[in-house]
Amino acid sequence: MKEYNSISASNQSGFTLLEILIAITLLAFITLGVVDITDNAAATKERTTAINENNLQIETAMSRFEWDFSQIYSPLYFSTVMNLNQGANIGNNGGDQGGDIAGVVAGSQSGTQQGNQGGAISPMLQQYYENLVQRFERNEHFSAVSKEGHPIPRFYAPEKNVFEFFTSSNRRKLENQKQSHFAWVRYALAEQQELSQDSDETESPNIPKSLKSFVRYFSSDDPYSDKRINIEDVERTKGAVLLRNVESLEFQYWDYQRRKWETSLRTIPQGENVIRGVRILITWYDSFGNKRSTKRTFRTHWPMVVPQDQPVANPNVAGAQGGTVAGTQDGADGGANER
Amino acid sequence: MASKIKNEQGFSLLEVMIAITLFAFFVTAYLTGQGYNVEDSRLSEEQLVLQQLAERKINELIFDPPKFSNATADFKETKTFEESEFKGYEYTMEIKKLTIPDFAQLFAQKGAATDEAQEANDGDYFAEGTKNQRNAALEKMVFEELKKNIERVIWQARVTITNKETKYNFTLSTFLTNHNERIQLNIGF
Repeated sequence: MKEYNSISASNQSGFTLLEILIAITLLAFITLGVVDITDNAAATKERTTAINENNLQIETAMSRFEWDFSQIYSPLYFSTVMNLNQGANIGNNGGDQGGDIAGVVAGSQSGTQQGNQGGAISPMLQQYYENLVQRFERNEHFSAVSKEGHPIPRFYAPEKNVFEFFTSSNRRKLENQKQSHFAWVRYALAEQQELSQDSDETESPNIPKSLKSFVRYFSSDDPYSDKRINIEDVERTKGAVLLRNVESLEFQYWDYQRRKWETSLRTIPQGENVIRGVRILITWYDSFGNKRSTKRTFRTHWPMVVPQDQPVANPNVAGAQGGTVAGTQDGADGGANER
Repeated sequence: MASKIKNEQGFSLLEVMIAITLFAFFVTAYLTGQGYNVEDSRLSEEQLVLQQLAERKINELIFDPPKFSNATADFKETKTFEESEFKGYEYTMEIKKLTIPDFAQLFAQKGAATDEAQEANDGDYFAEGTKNQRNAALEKMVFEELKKNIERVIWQARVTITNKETKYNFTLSTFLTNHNERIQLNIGF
C-alpha cells in the first residue's frame, strides 16, 4: 500500500510479476469458462440440427409419397369397365375373381346390369372401341379400357418393397411444354451409393453396411407406353433418393371389401386397378446410427365408393327402383352379397 | 497529482460487482437462448410423433369405419397404443351424429307471408305474397329432405392423441360417410 502511494507519474513501476501472474490466472479461468460455454453451444446446435434433419428426411420422404399417391389415377375410381359383349360376359365370368377386372366388375354388377346393353352402336364405333380395347388390353401398363374409353392403368407390386402406380401428380416445369400431368412413378429400394467426399453430410460409423436407399423413380415421358418404366434409362426416368440406410420397406394395400391390409395387389379383388389405401412400414438407420422405424397410412383423394353402371329404368328389371341412387351405393355391400 | 494517485488504488467493490453482474447477465442470456433452441427442437419432434399418430388413427377410421347405428352415436373411447415405442401415448376416438338446425332456426321469417298479406292476395296466383309463400314451402320441403339425408349419411369423427406424461395433444377431425345408407329424395308436389 505504501509503495503505491509513492508512485508518481514520472516514476511508474508498472505491475509486479505477482500481479500479472494473478491476473493471467484469473483471465485463464474466465476464458476457460467462456470457451466451455461456446463449445457446448456449438455442440448442441449441431446435435439439434442433426436431429431435426433426420426427422425432416423421413417426413420429406413420406410427404413425397403422399403427394404422388393421393393423386393416383384410374378411371375405375369413378367409372366402370367398357364391356363390348356384355351379354356373353355376365354369365361366364360371374364367379371369376382374382384380379381379372372384367370378371369382377361383371360379377358385382350382374344384379343390376342385365338389359343395359340394349342400345345399338354403329359398326364404325364398335370397330373403334374394339381397337381401343385391344390396344390397352393386357399390356404391361394397362389392362382394359373404361366405359368412356380411358385406359385403365395396372398398378404393379411384384415384391413387397416395390410399388409402381399411375399418378396425376406431374406438373409442367415450363409453360406450353407438351406434357400431361400423368406419370408413372415407382417407389422401391435400390443399391446405395457412398456419400461423396465433399458432402457435408456425415453418418455414424455404427451404421451397418449393405443397407439400401429408398428411391422414387418418376417417368412422365410417354405415360401411355405399354412398357414398364425402365429404371436403368436415366434419360427418361428420374431417380431420387428419399431416404438412406433403409433396412426394410414394406407396402401394404387396403382391401376395401374384406377390410384388411394385404401385402400383394393380386390377393385384392381389382387390386391391380383400384387401390384405396397404402400403408408403409419402413425401418432405417438415422445419421447417429440409431435404428428407427415408422408405420404410415395414406389415402387417395378419391371417394370411397365403388362406381356402378346405372340400371336402365325398365320396370321389368329387378332392382330398378333404386333408380338415381345406384351410383352412390357401396360396393362392399353389393360385392359381399354376390359372394 | 496526489489525488489522482489516490484514485488509482484498484477497483472498488462496487465496480467489481457491476462487472461480475454484467458478465453473469450475458452468460445467462446466452444459456437461456440455447435452452430455448433445444426445447423447440424437442417440441417439434414431439409434434411430429403426435401428428403422425393422429393421421394414422383418422385414416384407419376412414378406411374401416364402425357400424353406424344409434349405439354408435356419442361413441367415445380412450386407449393406449400397443406398440412399445408409443406406450406413452393414448388416443381418444369420438364419433357423433351430424345435426343440422331446423329450417325455422336458420331461415326465420324469410319469405313467410303474414296473414294479412295472405288475405290481401287471396286468390291471386301470381301476386308477390302468394309466390313467396309457395317458395317458402318448397324451400322448407327441400331443406327437410337434405337435412334428413345428410344426418343419416354423414357422421363426424374426431381423434385426439395425448402424450400421457406431458399432456401435449393433437386433434384431427373428419366427416365419415355411412356407405350402407342410400340417399333418398322423395320430393313430391
